[in-house]
Amino acid sequence: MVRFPTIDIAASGLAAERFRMEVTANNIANAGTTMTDTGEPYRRQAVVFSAGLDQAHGKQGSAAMHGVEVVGVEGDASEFPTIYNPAHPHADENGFVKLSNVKIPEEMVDLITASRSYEANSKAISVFKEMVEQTLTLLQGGQ
Amino acid sequence: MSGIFYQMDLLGSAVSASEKSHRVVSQNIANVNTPGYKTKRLEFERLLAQLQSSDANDGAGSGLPVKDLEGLEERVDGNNVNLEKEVAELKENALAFQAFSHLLASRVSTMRRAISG
Repeated sequence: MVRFPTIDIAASGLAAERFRMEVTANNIANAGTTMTDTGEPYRRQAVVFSAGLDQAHGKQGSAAMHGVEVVGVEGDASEFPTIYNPAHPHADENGFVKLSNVKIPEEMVDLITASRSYEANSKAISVFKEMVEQTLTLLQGGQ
Repeated sequence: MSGIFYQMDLLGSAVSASEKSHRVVSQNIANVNTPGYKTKRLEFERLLAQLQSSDANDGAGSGLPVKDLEGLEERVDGNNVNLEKEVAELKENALAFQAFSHLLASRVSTMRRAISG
C-alpha cells in the first residue's frame, strides 16, 4: 500500500484543531454552569499541543516529521469570578455566587483561530493532492 | 555523467525534494498552535546533493536536512509560525513541483520521439 506521510501530517493538524473546537464548544456550553460534581463551578478547559517530532535522531536538524499531537486537556487555573446574588440556589451564606471562569469572547477567538488553522491544514492536503495528480500524468505519457 | 538520463535523474531528485519540502511546510501548518514550536525549512540544495550522491538512500521520512527559520516574529507562547507565509510557501513549492514535473514529462516525450524516429 502506498503511504503518504505528508497527508498524515496535515491530518494530525486537522484532528488536533477539531478536538480544540470540541473543547471550546464544551466551554461555551458550560459558561453558565455554577455547580459541577466537584462542588465548584465549571472550570475552563484548555487543550495542550505538542509537536510530534521524532527525537530518536538526536539533533533537531535531522528529525522526522510527525505532525502535531494533543498531549492533554488542562483546567484553567484562573480564579472564579463572584457576583452578589442571594436568590441564587448556589449562593453561599453571604449571598455570593461563584461563576465559571469561561470568558465567551476568548472562546470565540479560540474558535475562529481553530477554524482557520483547520482550513490551512485542509489546504495543505488539497495542494499535495494536486501534486500527486501531476505526477500521475507522467504515467500517461506526460504533459 | 551527462545526457538525457542524467537530466531525468536530476529532475526526479528535484521532484522528490519538493515533495519533502511540502512535508516540512505541512508540519509547520499543523503546529501553528503548538507553544514553543519554531518554523522549519527544508535545505533544498543539501537534500538534492544527498539524493544525488546516494541513490539507495531515499531519505524515507528520516534524516531530512531541516533548519529553523531565523528572523521571524515570535508570539507570546514562543511559537513563530506565520500561517499566511506558510500557505504562500506551500503554493510556491507546488508551483516549483509542477515545473519540475513538466520538465520531466518533456524529457520523456523527447526520448519517445527519438525512439519512434
